[in-house]
Amino acid sequence: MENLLIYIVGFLAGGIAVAFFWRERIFRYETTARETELRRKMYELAILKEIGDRIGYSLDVEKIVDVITGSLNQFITYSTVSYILVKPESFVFKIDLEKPISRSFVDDVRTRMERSLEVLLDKKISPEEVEERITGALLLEDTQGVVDTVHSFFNIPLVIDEKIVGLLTIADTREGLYKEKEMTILYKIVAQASQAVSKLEHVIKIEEAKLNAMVESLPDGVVMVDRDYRIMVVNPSAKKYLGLEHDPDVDIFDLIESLGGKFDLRTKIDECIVADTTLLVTEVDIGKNFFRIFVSPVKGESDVVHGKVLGGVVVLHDITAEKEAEKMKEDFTAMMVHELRSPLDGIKKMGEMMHGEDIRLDKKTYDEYIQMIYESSSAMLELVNDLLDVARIQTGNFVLSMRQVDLRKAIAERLRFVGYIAKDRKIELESKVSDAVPLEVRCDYTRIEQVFDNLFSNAIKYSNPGGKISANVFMHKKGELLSKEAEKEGVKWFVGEKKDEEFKNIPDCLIAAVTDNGVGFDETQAEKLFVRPEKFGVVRRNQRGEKSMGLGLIKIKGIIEAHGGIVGAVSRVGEGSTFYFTINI
Amino acid sequence: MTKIPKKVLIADDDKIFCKIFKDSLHRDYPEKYEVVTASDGEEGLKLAMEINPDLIVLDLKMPKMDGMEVLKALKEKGIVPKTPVLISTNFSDMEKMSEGFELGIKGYVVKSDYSLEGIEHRIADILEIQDEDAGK
Repeated sequence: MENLLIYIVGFLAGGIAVAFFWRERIFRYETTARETELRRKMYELAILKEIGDRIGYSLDVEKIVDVITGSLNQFITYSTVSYILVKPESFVFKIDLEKPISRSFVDDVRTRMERSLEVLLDKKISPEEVEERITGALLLEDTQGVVDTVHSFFNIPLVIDEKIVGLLTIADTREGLYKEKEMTILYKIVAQASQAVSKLEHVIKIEEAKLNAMVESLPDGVVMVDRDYRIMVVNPSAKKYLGLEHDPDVDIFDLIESLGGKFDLRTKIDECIVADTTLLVTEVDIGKNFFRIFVSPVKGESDVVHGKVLGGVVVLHDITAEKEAEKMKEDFTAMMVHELRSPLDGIKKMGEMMHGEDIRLDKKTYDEYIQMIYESSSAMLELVNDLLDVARIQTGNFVLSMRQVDLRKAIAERLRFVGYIAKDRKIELESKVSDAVPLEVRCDYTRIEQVFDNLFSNAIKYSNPGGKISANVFMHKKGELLSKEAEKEGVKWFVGEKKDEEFKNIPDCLIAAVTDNGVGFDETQAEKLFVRPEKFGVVRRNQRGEKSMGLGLIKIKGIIEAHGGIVGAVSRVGEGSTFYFTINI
Repeated sequence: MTKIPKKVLIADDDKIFCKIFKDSLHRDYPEKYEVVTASDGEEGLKLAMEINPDLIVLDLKMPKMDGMEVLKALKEKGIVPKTPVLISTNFSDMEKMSEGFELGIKGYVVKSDYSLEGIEHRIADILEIQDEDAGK
């Protein structure tokens, strides 16, 4: 027999392990996917920041203006086309020569443009600030005897998003060249280009805002620093985890201080940049919480910043809940092993005792042992069955066989079944099924029997001698007040008006309730009663110290929910409790 | 020669274990042991102080007070390490085991790994060492 039991236990543990493993796998998959996504977003954010903060839109403007100047000679004649662009800390003056031209001509154009831009920007431009680029035809030095003079000249400001970013100019050695027609063409081209760039700018801004909003709202803490450890991003989650919620201006020293030596931020960022890989620190406790920390280099991948390390990103992923769940799971498994091992070991040791002659001769002790073996194996069988059922419910491997059931008969039978124990403990049992309840109700007979068995045996377990347990079944109509419906049927229970709101929206159904006047429980814990015990990891005991693994109620919840119904419990400590469930009609 | 029986306190909520181990000790060593049982931690601690046992067989998972709490209380009151304690449990928990030894227990048995005879031998060994130490 023992071999068989060990086999069952092994099978069971295997099943549960598979369920856990599966959950674990899904969880890991989710984590990896989230990390990848996060890293991608961080990269994008870095690039956009780089573009926005440092290079600005001049990059795009320059390209676009180059395109314009490259094709302008198809519409307009000129000796030179040039532009001057405002860069964050300098200016670029670029001139394309259509034909060989003298140095003095170029200088004249440049000076005129600088003066115009000075007026537009209301700012002095010194020659050292201006980088000069000359392309196109031959530049003739004035010493070669040729001196070209600017006779036609036309400036057009480059405006992007209502901001002056530069000046475009055409010039010619001939006189009176640029009339209304040419000006119109030029204006149109430039206006179009400006519009295009403005739009691009706008798109970048929206994207940046979106990314920022995303990073801001991430549950993971995100900190991004540049190569000089200047903080570029620190999202609210990171601030919360590090206790810096009220610091509007977080710098690297604040971060280092709040990490309190638990995590060497600067070294880790340097390490990840040198190793060019993401570093993972599996477990760091900061404050009351545990974190998994990822540190990644942020590198440029676009043309402009390719391969350049822009800084590092640190992601704080809170694993406190995971750790707790893991601990609970371990506790539960240890408890389960303990609860199965004890009666099994008891049976084995009784066998050991019964080998002895003397026991066999002592009829009274012998009978006691037989009784104990019977009780131990029954208790264990019950536990094994509960574990199997719960495992089945949890893996979704739970099929109902529905048929028409006479509930009145079923309840009477179950009451008879528990009647002996109740009588033993001097507990009174009664039941009342409302006349409105149909003669037959569609449900899984065996499963509903199990539900009643569990509710009755729980009620007995938590009742004192002289106590009373009543089972009530009555009908509920959608929109009606549950308390009134119960009152009409003469139901005495602990639910009262507490569930009226909830039941208003519940469709027509049958309500079954088991009420005792036993020890009761803390009502704030009611929901926990129906959750897997490893979630809060305790073996419950009643007032007599009788143990319960808390599997019965989980089984009830599984069975009732499979029927499409709901379960609940209401209690007053020291006065008793009501457990109820619904079956849809 | 008749020796004074050794007083053994078994604190274990597993009533079956209490009964069979008591029966077993009485059968295998008639008159050598006087066995007292407690079915929860509180009762165990109370009896440990009242009857001054020669050895305590202590379960870990018990209602009211668990074995570790009882052990800590016994140490505080100076009963441990003077009185030897053998933890007998169905938890094979390395942490608890080392914690127990740090608190001064003399042995840790996982019940299901031992026969009744095996646990009896452990008890006899512990008591023998105790007597030798006392004789020195």
